[in-house]
Amino acid sequence: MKKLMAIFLGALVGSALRYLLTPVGPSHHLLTVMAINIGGCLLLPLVTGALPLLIPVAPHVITGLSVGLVGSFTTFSTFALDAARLLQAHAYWAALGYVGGSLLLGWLAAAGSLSLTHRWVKGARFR
Amino acid sequence: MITALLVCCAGGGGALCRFGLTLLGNRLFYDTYFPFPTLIINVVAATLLGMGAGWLPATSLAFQVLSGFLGGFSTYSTFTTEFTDLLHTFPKVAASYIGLSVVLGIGGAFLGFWWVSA
Repeated sequence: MKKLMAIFLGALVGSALRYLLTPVGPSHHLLTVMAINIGGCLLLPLVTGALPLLIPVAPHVITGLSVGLVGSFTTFSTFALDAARLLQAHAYWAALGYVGGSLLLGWLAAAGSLSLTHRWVKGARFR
Repeated sequence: MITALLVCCAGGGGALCRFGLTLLGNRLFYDTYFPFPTLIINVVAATLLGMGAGWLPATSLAFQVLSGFLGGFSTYSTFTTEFTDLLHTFPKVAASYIGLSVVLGIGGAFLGFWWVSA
């Protein structure tokens, strides 16, 4: 129950942040959605891996921050719809850049953040 | 202000649905490394958002709340983190995961939009 509350509260904050950054509708800037998603990829491993090492936090707080806040801040549905809209407008290069850029930069962000987290976790274990 | 509050609450509900479905999915697909729960959640969310975009005006409250819910329900960060984790250990699974997510997600949004507005 505590966990569910934490997820809901985290998701409230995550949704609010995304809502503030992107006005809903077709008018939002694609780069904003890309930045949100890539930022989330950078944050998620840090929240689940490094944060518990830095400060003692209860597991349900971690779940609230990762599943709730970061999970709701990032969005796959808008990413897919944006790409579909670009394809429908025959903007193939833009679609390729958007999808490829989101995937590549998201992967780099997650991989960098994961390896940094692993290094911290290892360092903490041997301290 | 009320719109923002409704959108955020919808996002919270979406995140809870994602959490519940992921737990259920992990039980159903316990014998595979392929992250089926996130794939299904993201593809369903993309398809529903496409349908919503074809059916509802972008400025309507209903569409705002729907995209709030689906934004909380779907997730990009977990998708990428799962892919990155899999890439080290099971590169083929990782490749099929990212390929299926992109093709089915964008295809779903496209078909959902086209089906409703046609």
